[in-house]
Amino acid sequence: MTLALLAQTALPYTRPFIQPLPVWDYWWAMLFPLVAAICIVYKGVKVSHIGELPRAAATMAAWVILAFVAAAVGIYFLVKLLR
Amino acid sequence: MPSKPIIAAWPVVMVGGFLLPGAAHFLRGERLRGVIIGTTILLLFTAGVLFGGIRIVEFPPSNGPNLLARLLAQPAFIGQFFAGPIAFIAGYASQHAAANPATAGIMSHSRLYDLSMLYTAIAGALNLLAIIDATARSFAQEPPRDAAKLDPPPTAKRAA
Repeated sequence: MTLALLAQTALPYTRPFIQPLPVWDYWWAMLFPLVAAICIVYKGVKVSHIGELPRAAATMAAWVILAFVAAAVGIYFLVKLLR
Repeated sequence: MPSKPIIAAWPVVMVGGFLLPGAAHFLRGERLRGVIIGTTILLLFTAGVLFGGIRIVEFPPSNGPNLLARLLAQPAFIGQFFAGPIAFIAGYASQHAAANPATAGIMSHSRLYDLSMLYTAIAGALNLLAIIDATARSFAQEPPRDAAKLDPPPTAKRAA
């Protein structure tokens, strides 16, 4: 199992959509496109005029990412305290 | 004077939204809104498959005591299902990849697998949100929001 995993990660990235993209060291960066998409669709449904969408979605995305950062910092200090 | 957009009936809006993400709003006459929502949902689903590989989309198992038990064996597909035909295409491609000895062992793991699956499931959930919004507005016979802003209110027309 471990050998198969090692062999898989050592493969060059030649087959998009079949092989996973080699971004496992940057998995945390996957948060940003996800938050952006959620905010665009949610605000796209909510705003009364579509011209308001870029500003509304950007504001919401900034707040969500700030909340994630605040939660991460809070949990970090909580773990430090409990250790 | 701008011509009035043709607005589809709510069942057409609902089915259209399921068949193509964003089509629900497009068929309601909110064209730009539909294009933005649809493109975002399709890009999110595609990004999930690109990050995690096609094997992140899996149909529920065909054997099980009942439908609920089978769905709960592969709960992410409940979300992915609402992304529409793209989820079924990805599901069949995933089955094909699993059956092919050259690609059967290729699969993402741990965080990458979880996050990629989350991308595709959230794409479906967002499409469901868009379908519900557009269908409810069509059912209530609300005029398209963007067109309503372009037309002056009736009092202004009378004053003019």
